[in-house]
Amino acid sequence: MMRIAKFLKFEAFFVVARYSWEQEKAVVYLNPEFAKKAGIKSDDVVLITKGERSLKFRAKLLETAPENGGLIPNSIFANYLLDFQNFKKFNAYVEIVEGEESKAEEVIRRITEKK
Amino acid sequence: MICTGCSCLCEDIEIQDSKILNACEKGYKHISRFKESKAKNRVYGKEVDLDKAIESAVEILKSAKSPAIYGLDTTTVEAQRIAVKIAEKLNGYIDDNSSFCLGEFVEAILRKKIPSATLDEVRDYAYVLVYWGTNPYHSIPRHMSKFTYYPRGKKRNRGYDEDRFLVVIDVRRSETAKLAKKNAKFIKVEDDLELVDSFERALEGKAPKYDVAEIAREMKKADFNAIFGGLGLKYGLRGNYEKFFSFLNKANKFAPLYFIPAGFHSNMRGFNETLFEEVGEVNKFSFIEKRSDPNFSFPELLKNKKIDVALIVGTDPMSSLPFDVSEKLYEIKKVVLDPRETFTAKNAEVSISSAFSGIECGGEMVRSDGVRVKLEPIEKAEIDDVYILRRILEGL
Amino acid sequence: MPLTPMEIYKLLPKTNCKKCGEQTCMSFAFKLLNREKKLEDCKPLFEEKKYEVQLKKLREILKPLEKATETGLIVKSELCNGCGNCIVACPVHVEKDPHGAGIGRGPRIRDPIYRIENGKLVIVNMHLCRRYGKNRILCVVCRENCPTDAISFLEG
Repeated sequence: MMRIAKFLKFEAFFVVARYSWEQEKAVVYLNPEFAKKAGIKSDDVVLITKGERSLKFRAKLLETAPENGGLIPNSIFANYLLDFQNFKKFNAYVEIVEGEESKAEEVIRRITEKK
Repeated sequence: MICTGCSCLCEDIEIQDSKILNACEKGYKHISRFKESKAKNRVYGKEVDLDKAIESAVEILKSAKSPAIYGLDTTTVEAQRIAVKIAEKLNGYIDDNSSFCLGEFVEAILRKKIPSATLDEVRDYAYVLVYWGTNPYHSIPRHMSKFTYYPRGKKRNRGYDEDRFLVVIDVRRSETAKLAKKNAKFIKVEDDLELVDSFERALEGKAPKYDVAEIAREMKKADFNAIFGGLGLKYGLRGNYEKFFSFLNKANKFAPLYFIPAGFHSNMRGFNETLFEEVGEVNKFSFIEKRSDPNFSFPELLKNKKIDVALIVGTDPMSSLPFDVSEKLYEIKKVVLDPRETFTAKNAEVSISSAFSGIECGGEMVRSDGVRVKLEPIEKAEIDDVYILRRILEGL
Repeated sequence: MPLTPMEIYKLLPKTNCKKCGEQTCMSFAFKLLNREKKLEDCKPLFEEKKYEVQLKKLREILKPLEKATETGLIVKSELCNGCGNCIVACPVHVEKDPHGAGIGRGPRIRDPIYRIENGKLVIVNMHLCRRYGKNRILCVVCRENCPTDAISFLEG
């Protein structure tokens, strides 16, 4: 079945915080209510876009994530999207995409390509 | 042994039948994985022996026009002292992660601008406990069970539900906020500065915007209350630290209220204290200008292209700094000292493999509340940060 | 979700045949939940074909019982990060280990109820728990203070 949510972009509020598990992977923990509204299911891959930068994350659901968005663990992935003005929280767009979550090496490549 | 997984520096870790007891999962991973993905001695991508790596590091540092030393939050006070000497010798900059972490708060404590206390005093005496902009469950997992809310103390021996009043301030209902049930309050904060105002008004008996009147009443009942502030508080204040410090001092006219930074890397406070002892500043210091300045923080130096070489000790800025800063790391030469093969180490001009402080080598660290702790390593590595930094200093 | 005796009762034959030694199917349901009786003690369930579907369902809902300890406790290790709140809050630990768990340290008594091993909560000695034995009380202090619901009890 075609999923309508696939064509929609949602504005979301993200908090960047320490999280005990899966720090090595690009995982975003979405508030279950928000995920429902945005048509995102656990294990979907979502593209999070903030300004000119975007990265793919594996979506998981977490009750303690902020309403209207989610939590991104403190990681190379969060740091790719944020800046010091928005170090702990920021607004960004989220949409369902195909494929796998981004890898850390990919982010490093984007740094090294700037050489 | 002492766990160096975070700034709690838990001292009750035991190893029995190859099981690690009492450490939280974060600590367990820190302790148990020290042998995995060890850094290699490397110069321009080629594996070399230690002497060659140190020699190349010295060469690069010597030829630097404007070097910086950065990191140092997971190493020992002894290593930090040598690092300060190297920065001085090079006439360079020195900074750690505290410049974008909780450095301002530690500085205020060291300058005696705000009242602080030890976590042991909190356990024995504190009544109202405010976790502000921090979720200790994930960042400093044993903080509440070991020091603050749950343990019985000398004057607080009736248990958490009677002898403590828990306040959790966050932008979301975090795991810690879920614990604020009986004799407790969760405040969902949107504007931290307005919340500071509300606390001030409530203590003065005026009507506050945020619902904090009950907390103010509880604070006034006790002779010891504490705020544990995290990064959420720091960034929520949007640079208005003085307003927060002035609130703390005003609050103390109504009820004793102490501030303790709520955790960071194992020895970040140690770095602040070491540099403070040596030069009277806690971070982002220039030995040329003999002063500290926001522009001298490592991220700002990178962004503004003020440095050409960095000696990076025990931190991985390629993954821990925002992209608009980390992408600038490629414009400078990097000498990395780390026990672990980090992204920065892999991409450094010189990488030197070191030892894990507290696991493979001893020394001193400073807990988040300022208590000094002697490490109890389980191995004895010959090559550690102190050894390598000393040899670099000699080479210079 | 915690399992209730009523949910079990609904799937039993509800004939009060007393073959299991209990006066009613309801009391058998209670004892099943407390693990004082086994499902096999209900003979009609196994002997009569009409209960086949019910038996299957019962086996399904009683599955967590196999994982639970004698006090009905279930620890979901994957949700635990070893914060130790449960260990320090536990009233038995406070009483028996006042210089260890009672003041926030790792347990110093020989056989504590719980301790943290390799970063996760493990059950060492269930017999000390207030939920154990004849005079048990339904203490839930550890569960109440687990921020990730890693601790649960069968009876709720």
